[in-house]
Amino acid sequence: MPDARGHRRTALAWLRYRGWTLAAHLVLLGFGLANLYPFIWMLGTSLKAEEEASLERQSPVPQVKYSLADGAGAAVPPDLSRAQLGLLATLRKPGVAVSLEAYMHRSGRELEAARRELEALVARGLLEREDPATYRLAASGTRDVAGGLNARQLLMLLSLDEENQRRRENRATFAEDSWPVGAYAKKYRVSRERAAEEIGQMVERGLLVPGRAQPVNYWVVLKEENFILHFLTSLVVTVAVVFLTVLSTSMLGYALARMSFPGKMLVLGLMLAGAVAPREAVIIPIFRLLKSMGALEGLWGMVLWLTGVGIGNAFLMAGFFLTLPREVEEAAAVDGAGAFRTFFDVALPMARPIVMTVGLFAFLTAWNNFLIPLLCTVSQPSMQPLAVAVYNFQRGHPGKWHQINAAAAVMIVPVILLFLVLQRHIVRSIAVGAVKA
Amino acid sequence: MHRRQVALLAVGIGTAVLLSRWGEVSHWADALVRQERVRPKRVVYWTSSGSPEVDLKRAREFMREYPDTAVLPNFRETGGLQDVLFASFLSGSPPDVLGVSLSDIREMVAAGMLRPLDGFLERQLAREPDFLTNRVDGEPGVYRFRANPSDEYIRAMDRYPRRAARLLHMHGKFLGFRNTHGIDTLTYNKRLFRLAARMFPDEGLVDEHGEPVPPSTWSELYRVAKVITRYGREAAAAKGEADPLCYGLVVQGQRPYDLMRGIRPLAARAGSMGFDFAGKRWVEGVDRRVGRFEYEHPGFLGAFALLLKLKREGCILPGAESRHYEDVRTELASGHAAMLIDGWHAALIGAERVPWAAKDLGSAPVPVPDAAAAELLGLDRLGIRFPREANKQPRAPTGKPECITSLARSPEAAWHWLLYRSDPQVVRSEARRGVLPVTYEAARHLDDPEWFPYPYQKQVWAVLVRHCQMWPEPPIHGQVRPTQADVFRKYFYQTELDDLGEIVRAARREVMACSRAANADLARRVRRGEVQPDFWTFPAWDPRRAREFFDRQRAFAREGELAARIEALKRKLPPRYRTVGTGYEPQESPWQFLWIPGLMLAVVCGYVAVVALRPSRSLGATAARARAGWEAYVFVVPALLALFAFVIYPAFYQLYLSLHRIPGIAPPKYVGWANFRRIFAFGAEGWDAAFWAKVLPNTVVYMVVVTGGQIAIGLVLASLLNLPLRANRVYRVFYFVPLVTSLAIVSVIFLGLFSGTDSGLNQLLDAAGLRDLPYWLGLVDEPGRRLDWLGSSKTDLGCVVFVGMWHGLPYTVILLLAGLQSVSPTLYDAAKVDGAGPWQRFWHVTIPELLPILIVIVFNALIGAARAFSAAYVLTEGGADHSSELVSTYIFKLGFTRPEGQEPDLGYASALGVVYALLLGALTAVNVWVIARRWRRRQGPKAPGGPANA
Repeated sequence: MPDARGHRRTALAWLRYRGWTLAAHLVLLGFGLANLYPFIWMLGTSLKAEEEASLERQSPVPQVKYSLADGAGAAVPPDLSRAQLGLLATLRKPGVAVSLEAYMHRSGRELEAARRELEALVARGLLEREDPATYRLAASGTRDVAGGLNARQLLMLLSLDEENQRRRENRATFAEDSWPVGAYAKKYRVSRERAAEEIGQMVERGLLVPGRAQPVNYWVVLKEENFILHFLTSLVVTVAVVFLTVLSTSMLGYALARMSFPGKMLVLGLMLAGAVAPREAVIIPIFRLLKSMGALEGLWGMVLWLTGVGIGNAFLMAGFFLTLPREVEEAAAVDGAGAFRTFFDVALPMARPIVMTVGLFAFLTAWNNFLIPLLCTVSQPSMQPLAVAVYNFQRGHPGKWHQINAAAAVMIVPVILLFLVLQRHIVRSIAVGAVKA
Repeated sequence: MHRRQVALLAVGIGTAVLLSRWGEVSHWADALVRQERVRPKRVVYWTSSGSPEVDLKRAREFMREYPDTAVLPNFRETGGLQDVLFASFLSGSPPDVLGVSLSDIREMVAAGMLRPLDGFLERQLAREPDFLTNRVDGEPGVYRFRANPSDEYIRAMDRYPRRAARLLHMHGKFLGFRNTHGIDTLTYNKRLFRLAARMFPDEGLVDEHGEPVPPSTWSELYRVAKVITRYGREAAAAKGEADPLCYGLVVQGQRPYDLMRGIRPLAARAGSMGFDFAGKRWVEGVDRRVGRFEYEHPGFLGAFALLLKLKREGCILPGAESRHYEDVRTELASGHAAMLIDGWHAALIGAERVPWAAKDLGSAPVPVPDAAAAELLGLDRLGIRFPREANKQPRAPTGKPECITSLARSPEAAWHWLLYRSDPQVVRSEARRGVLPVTYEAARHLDDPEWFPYPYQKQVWAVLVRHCQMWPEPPIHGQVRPTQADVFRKYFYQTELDDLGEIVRAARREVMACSRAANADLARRVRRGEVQPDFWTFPAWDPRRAREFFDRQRAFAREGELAARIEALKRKLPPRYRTVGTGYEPQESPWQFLWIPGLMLAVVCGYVAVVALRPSRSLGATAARARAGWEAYVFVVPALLALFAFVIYPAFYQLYLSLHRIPGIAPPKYVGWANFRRIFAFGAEGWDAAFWAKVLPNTVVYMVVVTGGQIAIGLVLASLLNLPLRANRVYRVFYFVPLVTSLAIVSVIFLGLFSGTDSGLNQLLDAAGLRDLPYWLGLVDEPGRRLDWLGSSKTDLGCVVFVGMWHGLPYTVILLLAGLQSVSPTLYDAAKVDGAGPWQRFWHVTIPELLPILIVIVFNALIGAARAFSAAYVLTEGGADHSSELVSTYIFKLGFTRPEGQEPDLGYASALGVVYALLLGALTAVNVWVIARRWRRRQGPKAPGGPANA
């Protein structure tokens, strides 16, 4: 008999039973999202336009901005100049006077041209002539200048059109010009509500198109700031480091696990010493060594250094080879395969899981390391891989967070995607690697 | 099969060649992409004299003299152009732009003095649309620039003040970067205006929609001022406060006469008027009545005295945590805003309008250099005294030539440095160096009333040069401490002395002592042959005849004599320095890598010897075994090569370096344990106190807090993630994502969230209603003030720790999760049967079971934290005065940058590296030992001992 009391009781019972679970869910979800906030902010900001990115930092979601619809520039009558519209937009009350001289001054026209333009406005019924040198704003001048739009709206359309044209001509940026409501309000000194209303009117008439994201930041960063090159560099370095690390560590690991040769204990001891020796403390001698060899002219210095960082993974390899059955290799040997053939064609394919793990570690090291590329590209800025390039971009463009974040996303998003795909493997590798290595 | 191998070989060789040639390839690709950009050349800026005619004359003269130089006088008409330049500075590519005003540009182009930059301005303007205005219709490619600074400009200035100062100083050709408009620039407090307009709708300040109409003419502006005044009075009266002085009218100006010209009529017409000298950034929350002015060349003592005065008045809050104060210091130190005064100008327009300036000014009569100047400046009202008697009796010349050194890499750079106070190659840290606010430019114009309008200033200059032996570039000789800038700061912060004159005298005394010590040190090092040719020395320096000296230098440069003279100087140097010149790179033997196979050979020989000496095994049998399994050596060699190249050889080399002094370009010189003595000789001369007082404690704090925080938070998170929830698979992704990201990039992102007073963090605090949190924590001394979390020396380490912890957390969580999952469920069942609750199970089952792996995790985290570099480097670069320096960044900065303008000190950095290596190695060794013990216990059944967690 489920009456109201009964319902409440079952709800309470459910809460008592499930309450802890619910709390755990909430805590995990809340903190998880907070944990991701930097990345959310990064992605959001990388899609903003510049003035938003530096001013409205608290929200990662880009504002709505309005850009010109196709052909909307034609809504501005060609016989109205910018100066005329500007004048109308400034004199906001009917009856406010403007002198011919003041108009000359503000528009930079000659006397005759200025007079002609003012007379044109009089002819349109927007101004009234008081005396030959003074004009007053007519009653209709505030509301309907052309096609039901007021001077501010027309000015906005004109500005957007001109700006777009200029950008196309100069190819300075790929973004179409767009204004948020706030910019409109600020530029024409009206309240936000008024600005929203006037812009809404233009959107309704199909003159403006609202939009949020400005993905062109990525293109700017990639092309203009040449991050394609840095990305390629990172990629090349990473591939080379992964290949070399996997090759050298698997060979050493195989030798340690399977072969017996005089000096094995010596090699093991050296490896242990190498595992204990700190790498970060000896940057100066390594840098000088590589520089004197000329290895920093190209990528070799960086690649070798990063490979050297991952040599300790040979222990992981050795541990894995020990777990493989010997019989397969013995069978291969019986079939007449030499040591190399056995290793490359039999043992290595069997060791795929650990090769993936070590390769993953090498990948993360090569892609993410900062100190080593920083040192290796001191004299060759064009050779920087992404980590250093992003850092330097941030230094060189202070405050341009829309582009800095786009650059950061160029570097981070691929690895995050990779993580999502390989998540289980990565997590298991790390657990295994930390405990064994 | 055969073909496959050939193909593989070809790919391998191709990749190898590509890797070694990548430098050239990337350079070529970079040039290809960036070719349409304008490459910066040399741009000279100077501050307007206030008179366009004079400026133009100067610009022309200058350009005639230096034809390859672009000149940008900082004219009133060029506010917009300046905006453009400023923006381009911020974007990192200083342009080769010329420009005065439009007509002047045309005229100069016609005269052939300027060359038009095809399309540069358009591109620049298109990039920065906000900075453009007034496109002249119908005439393509011609723009007119705003006469007034736009709101955007002011906003940008407020947003980037310190960076701008640094950047501009870095480029070094800028004497003041603020707009130099006269009284033409007059804005008003928009917020107050809106409020006032809405409150008094009958004043006619609103349009038909009820929207406030901004004033567009002078007379409207006066009306606005009146209304705002009325509003201010009524608002104050409603709150029961005294009549405020600030009515929101903003007056910006550069020179007293501009202000005189502008303010007096304004004050007369607007009735009552106060000042809010656009000082939002400077005096926010301090005292709205305090204005801020910059004046270009007032002399050091004047600036010092006035700053002192401001501090007394409570207008500038002392303390490093005050961002505003930092700004003042930065600008003052870099010579941009040479003087920050208010009362001076306030006195000009009559003290009765600015009551605070008249009060508390001391009763003693003020001896000032010049009665007329005193009256003009109102110095007596400010209580500033200059010891006149001392001025009358100039110090007797010592007869010994003094030295001035300039930091430069080559003769050309030295010359450049002397002229423009900048060396193209000087590193960016240069901007932080304390440089006193007197410039060479000023010396050139000592007799020019446009530069030194008041006799008093000339006198201050004389005091400065003659008595303090101070010069645009105070001598910088490596280790000499304190520097003159330090003295400046010390006396600025001191609280014991009361008398301003006494403070100034004491400061001067110490500055002179510094100067002497620096010169003595230089002389000593010259004697010892240690002076590096990087520091060009000018022994003929006479501080009393600075102008002649520089004129001569300039003449040398023009006649090509400078090169000859420098050659002559070089001939006096020890022979090994003679080859030094532009572009000199320290050379090392490229064959040093041969040591690596040598070391390997030595190790092998040692092993063979050991085997041979052992009776049990014969050498022959061993050799036979080695011959049989020769392939194994091929397998071992690549990894061993890497091991020797990156671990073993560097360790020896590091030791070698740490026992030497490596002065950048000269060959290393054996100095024994001197570098280690610098670390361990506590309290002795030359002991590196900063390392023990700041760097090491910071590192320890970082390690402990990061590790502890990771373990604590990680345990909670891991326990939650280990719950049998289906959604945990998703949650884990949330928490593990930072794992694969680079700490450096994450730090860049956090930099965006933390830096500045309007940072995301502060906005978050505002939104949470915790705006005063920094005040409650005692981080700022006034409620409502925002804190620059990365800029304050109290919080920057905290930020670095936070980022490090955040980034390392998923790693710890994964390991803890693995540990939790390895705990046998039967134990829990048993505990449950015994009646243990969840907490008891956690404490008595989980933790003891987890303990062994917990130790491994702690060591992992400790080692990771000790190695940390990126977060500290990216976020703060060590912070001011090493406030967030870690050992790794300290070593990096010592070895690879030029802190304080010195050469990299590789020997000392290596010694520190050895200490650091010992620390890290000890930690790692303990870790390896712990792991090995665990392995033995787990695997070896013969291992002695009881249960694993006994």
